[in-house]
Amino acid sequence: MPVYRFEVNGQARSVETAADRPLLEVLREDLGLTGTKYGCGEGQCRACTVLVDGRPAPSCVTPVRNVAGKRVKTIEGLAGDGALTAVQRAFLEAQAFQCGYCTPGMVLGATALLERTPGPSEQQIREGLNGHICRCTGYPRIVAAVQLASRFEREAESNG
Amino acid sequence: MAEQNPRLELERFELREPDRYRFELDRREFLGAGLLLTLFITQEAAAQGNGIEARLHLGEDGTITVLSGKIEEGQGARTEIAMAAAEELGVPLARVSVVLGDTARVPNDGGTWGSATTPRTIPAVRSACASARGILGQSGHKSYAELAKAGGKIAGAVPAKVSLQAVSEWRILGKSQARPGGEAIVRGAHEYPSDVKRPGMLYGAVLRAPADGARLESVDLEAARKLAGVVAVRDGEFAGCAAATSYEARKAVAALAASARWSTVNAKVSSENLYDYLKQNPGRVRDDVKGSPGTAAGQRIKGEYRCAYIQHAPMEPRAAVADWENGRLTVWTGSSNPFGVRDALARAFSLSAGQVRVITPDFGGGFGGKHTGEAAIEAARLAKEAGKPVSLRWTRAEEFAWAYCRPAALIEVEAAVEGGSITAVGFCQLQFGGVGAGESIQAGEHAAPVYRVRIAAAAGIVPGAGVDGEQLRARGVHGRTGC
Repeated sequence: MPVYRFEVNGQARSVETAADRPLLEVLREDLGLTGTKYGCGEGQCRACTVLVDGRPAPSCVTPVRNVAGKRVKTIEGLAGDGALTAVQRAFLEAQAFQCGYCTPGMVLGATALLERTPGPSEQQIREGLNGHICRCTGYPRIVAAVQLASRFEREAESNG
Repeated sequence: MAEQNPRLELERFELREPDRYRFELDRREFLGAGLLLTLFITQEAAAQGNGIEARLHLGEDGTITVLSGKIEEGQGARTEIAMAAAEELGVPLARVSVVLGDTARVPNDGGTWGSATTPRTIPAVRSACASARGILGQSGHKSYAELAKAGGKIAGAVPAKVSLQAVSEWRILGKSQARPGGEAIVRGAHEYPSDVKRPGMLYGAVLRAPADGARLESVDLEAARKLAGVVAVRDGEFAGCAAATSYEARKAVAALAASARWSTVNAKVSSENLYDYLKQNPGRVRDDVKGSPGTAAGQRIKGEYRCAYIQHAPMEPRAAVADWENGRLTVWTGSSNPFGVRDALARAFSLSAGQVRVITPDFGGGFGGKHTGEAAIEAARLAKEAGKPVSLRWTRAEEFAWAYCRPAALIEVEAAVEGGSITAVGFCQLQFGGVGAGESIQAGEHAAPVYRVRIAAAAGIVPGAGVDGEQLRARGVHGRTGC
């Protein structure tokens, strides 16, 4: 079987595996990173969102061969064992989860959104996270969490 | 195997799926079951006792653990139980940890459904914790840890009358509190049933029928077994594979599917004729009629309402990890009914309930759709064959095709109005699966002087919605209509 080398959460990894295996399953089953969730297997719910070279990608429909040589970031790679990122802190403070199964994908989606659109309007948040499904329907709190994260980032900038 | 505990009230609308698999037993297993039943009953009786020790554990290190058979699927039971305990114990919320849905450790509080945690379980938690506070007060010790270290015992039955904290004195209850374990969720560190990992664990996949009701006539297991590292098994209607990755397990099941022969099924019903079918095949009908609503005077108003079969669609599809050790079975799974799943596993494998432990990690949503243990039974069958732990995670397609649905229904309502009064009411509810008909049928007499109420429960036509009227009743299969 072919060997694929890519970076996961800042570490170089190499995985010997079938080329068409979903990145999601390589992360979860080979690398033990179960924070990334399976929701639909069709890229339709975004629970499996990871960042590939900084851009959100549905890992359930991303064959592992597509990330060869790239940088993959999962929910475990945001804060590591250290302090939570602004988005994670905001989700926690806003209690923007019920069952929490969609949360890793939401957090990574929001992280990418704030990166490309700092200080987003409510409309931009709703559009930016469109496609991320929360079956517990906690959307208002999720939007509030992203607004709060945006504020945390602004405060950090003005303090720094 | 176990009789329903009469002290536990089942929600009458509850859907309880009939056992899907009948596995073959060898004679030794069969003979073993009776003897162990006794042990099970004894253990069950102990677990269901109302002693404080069944509900609360105080550690010498100051840890306080509250135990409940309820589960957390995003609805907030864990938070609420911790709040109730901390309130009555008189300790900060963060001091209390809550163990939920582990059948070896917690009392059987019944399934988590019918919005019953607040009215049924919370009072039990409060009473037990208030009793513990009383015992602490009488002991002269300053803290629960000190009491535990001194060998003091928090035990015995919860008195019938316990002095609870007055609502006006509440510090914790009645206020918004953060969900315990929230940080693990935002870090992606919380272990859902899909995430549970055991040493040497394989991943499973199950061969699905091409249509509901199709029967497996033959399958060539060798087609799968010749793939490296694949375990394949057929047992009655069940066939599946386990392998080192779920990718390989799926490939192996695809090899089984290519060789499988199924009996054909003639589908009588489709989405197009669903409601006509209901009218023609209403199943068990109950009528309550007073007078002749058809001839009542006045202006007539009519409406017809349809409820489709709807999937519950939790974000996390059914998932289970099964681990056998010396004939004992431990299963981690996401179900709102851990004790029911334990009993279903015991029936499926001819074990005593005492030989089965179901552990319920907080899981990714249920919405009334995870009261059954299909994935648990399938994972356990694969693990038994493999001799290794197996994780089985249903795909979204499996969840939509094979998990039970909220039953479809057709509701026709008619009323006659004259001079500002309702003179007659007609109400006809036809649905797949049973219905909590009692209230609806009695509602007629309150609605109008003349009425006709018809409630009918038809045999289900999708998985989980039952098989025929008799079996619906015998197995207690019910479905909620509530449009």
